Amino acid sequence: MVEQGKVDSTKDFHPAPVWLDEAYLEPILRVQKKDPGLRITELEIKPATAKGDNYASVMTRVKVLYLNAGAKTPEVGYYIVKTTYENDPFASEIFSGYQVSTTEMLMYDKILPQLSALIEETRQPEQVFAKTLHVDYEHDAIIFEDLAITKHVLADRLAGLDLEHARLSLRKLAKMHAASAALNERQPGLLTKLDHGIFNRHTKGFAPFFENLVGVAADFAAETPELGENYARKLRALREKVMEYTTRVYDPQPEGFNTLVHGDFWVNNMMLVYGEKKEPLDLKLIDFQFCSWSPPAVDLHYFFNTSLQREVRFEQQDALIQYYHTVLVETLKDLKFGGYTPTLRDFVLQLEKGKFFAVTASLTCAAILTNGETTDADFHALMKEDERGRRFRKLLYNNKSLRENLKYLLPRFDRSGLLEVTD
Amino acid sequence: MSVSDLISAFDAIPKIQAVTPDVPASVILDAPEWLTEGYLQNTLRKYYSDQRLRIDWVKVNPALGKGENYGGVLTRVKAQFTRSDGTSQLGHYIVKSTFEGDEFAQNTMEPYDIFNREMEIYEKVLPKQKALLLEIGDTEQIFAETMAVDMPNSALIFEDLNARGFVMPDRLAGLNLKLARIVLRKMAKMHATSAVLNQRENHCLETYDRGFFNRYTENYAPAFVGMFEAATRRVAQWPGFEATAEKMKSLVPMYMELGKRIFDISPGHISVLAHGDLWTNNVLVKYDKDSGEPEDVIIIDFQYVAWGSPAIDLFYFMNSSLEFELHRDQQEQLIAFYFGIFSDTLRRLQYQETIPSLHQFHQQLHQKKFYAAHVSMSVFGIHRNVETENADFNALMETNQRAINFKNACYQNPITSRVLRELLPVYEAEGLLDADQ
Repeated sequence: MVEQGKVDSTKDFHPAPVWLDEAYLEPILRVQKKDPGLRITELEIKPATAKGDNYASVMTRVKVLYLNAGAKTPEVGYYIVKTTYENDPFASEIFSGYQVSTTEMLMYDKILPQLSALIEETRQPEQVFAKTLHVDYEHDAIIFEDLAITKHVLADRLAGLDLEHARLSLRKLAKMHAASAALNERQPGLLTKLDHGIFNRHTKGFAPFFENLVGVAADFAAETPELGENYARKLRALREKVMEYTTRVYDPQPEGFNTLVHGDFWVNNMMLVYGEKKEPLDLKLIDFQFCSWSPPAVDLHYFFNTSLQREVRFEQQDALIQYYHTVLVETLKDLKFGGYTPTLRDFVLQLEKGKFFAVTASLTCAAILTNGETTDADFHALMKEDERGRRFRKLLYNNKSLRENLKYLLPRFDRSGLLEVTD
Repeated sequence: MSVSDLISAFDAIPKIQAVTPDVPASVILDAPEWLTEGYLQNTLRKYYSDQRLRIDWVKVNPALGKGENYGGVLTRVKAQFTRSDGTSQLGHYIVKSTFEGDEFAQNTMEPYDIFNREMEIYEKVLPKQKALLLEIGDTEQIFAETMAVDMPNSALIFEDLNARGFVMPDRLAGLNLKLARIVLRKMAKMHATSAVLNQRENHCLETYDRGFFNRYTENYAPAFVGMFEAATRRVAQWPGFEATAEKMKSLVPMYMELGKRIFDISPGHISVLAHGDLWTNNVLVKYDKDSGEPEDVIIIDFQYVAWGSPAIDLFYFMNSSLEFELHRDQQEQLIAFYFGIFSDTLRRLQYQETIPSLHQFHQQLHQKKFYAAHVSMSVFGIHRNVETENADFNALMETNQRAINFKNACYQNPITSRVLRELLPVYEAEGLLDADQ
């Protein structure tokens, strides 16, 4: 099935924004470099992500050569321009329900800079986010520094993070969460109004994706001797409940700790800097389209079940939770947060309350996020009820790693009652 | 010659059937003074409703050794008697009575009121629970049948399950999966029937609020906190555990309060009449003669029943009485197994309140998980103690040097040490060693 204006799916699919040219970028750079006489001499544009790396937006890498006023040799600047699926009506209609660009623009424009300022006030300040260059409300675009230039790279999403990387990520996350709680305390309502996460009470646009994949998981269970018909039956019954049960995890808990969650906290939304001996030195979080005011369980269960090496995921979760909690509490204290600070025990219980999201993430998100078969890996294939879509989703479950992990996890989810339909 | 030698000597005497002129003399060794042949004859006459029943001989001796029971005196009775229709019978009984003559023990245990409670439970509560099971066609036997309840003497007389082939499992070994599941099945039915009984009879079970931790007394603190402090001393010796030992030390002032919160009723949680002391020694097992496989289980010793969370029994049992691998790795599966039977029995008995989903139940138990840590750290060591020389009530409950030495010795046991080594990191990571839980 070929749609008008679409490229053949075997070639790279890159709907670059048409307005992105020298005329557009020059005024922006002039402001940023504080040089009204700046001139762009060369502009190179190419896709920033490969298929399978990003389903929710279009990323364009821009290399700009420019001459400062009176200079002879050009300087070079590297940026990422992030835009929506504006050429793709199917995708853009669904995404508009999630207000992704509104959320992200608000984040880069107003919120992240304030969070960064707060983290600077703490005893152990560090940078957690990439620096914004420009937010363009008219074109729904965000331009920020290309972290690749300062040697930031993506981690290997197929292998997953080891313990050291996991701790580094969680340290940054804990600071973001703590700073957000403090920011909302100082400006009440600023962050609590964000409520368009991947699961939210306004739209169920992504439902076909989640429900279909739970169905595929049920088929997988049926044909796996170690699992069998019992699990298949439970998963089939869970199919029509997965959206509601997961959305409940996102609802702010009146008696729990809530904060601004990242909402898509997985390995591909982190950029790392490595040292000479390949040790991770620093990490920045990117991609703030799905932030919402929710319990931290949203980020933690998602992270644990999409981004870790198997042994870390299965053996070290408790230690990681404890570490995250320590950083969270220390940062809240530094920021003189006066609101509810959970004890470790409280926090563990709150995570357990939101544990259903671990099920969703393991059955659905883990499938796409650890997928190695990138030929058909795009938004349409995830969502559509056509032959291509069905084939792709079934293919996702051929992933050996995924299968092994589910054989281990499904019995564990089952025995704490997480696969039951309760209402 | 020791008492046990004497007993073995008597056991070697060939059994003589009744109605012979040459009847052996009755032997009563080391028993409560009111436990005479005459007393037993009266009891049997009442039980069998036969005023002309006549005892031919009795043999009475202590039932347990040191370190096996801190909660009272158990006396084994073998009685040969003839009924009014001329038939002869050999009966086996256990008489359970209070500690006599030990003032310290009596004073310490007094606020827990264990003897009166147990008699009340056997007389009034357990028979009703049995009736509830019969209502739904379940004839499974969960506890021993009572022969007599003697309030004035604070004594209970049961059929001696030993004679039916029930024995105490190896206290030092830990139960295997098959046995654990049998126990949990019975526990689930006990709990479910108690919840229904409480509902039908106007909340009558809610007055049982004097379990091991309660809001009336801290008399057992020297045992619990004393054992915990001994654990802390042991852990402090291990490289890499210094920080853990420090955390444990800081927990000491909060320890009793954290235990009491387990026994407090949490709103919205399902409540049951918990056994309160459900471990290996309070479980009698019938093993198959040929295969050696466990076939059935009877639960005994209802001195510490308390109305509250099923966690009281579940965490106590699973953290004291299982083989190591089950203790460390399989508790969630066992809870799910228990819950299937628990919820099913509640439904069949048409329990009128909300039955939680498994995940809700899981979360409710999770809130009481300090008890799991308490049992693993402080109670396990008592149960698995191998130094029986000094294993008595005083060593457990006092704070003098002898008592400290006894508790330290408990932690020399390699199994007890292993439990600490492998489970403390888990408890710590879940915040269960934090003073501000």
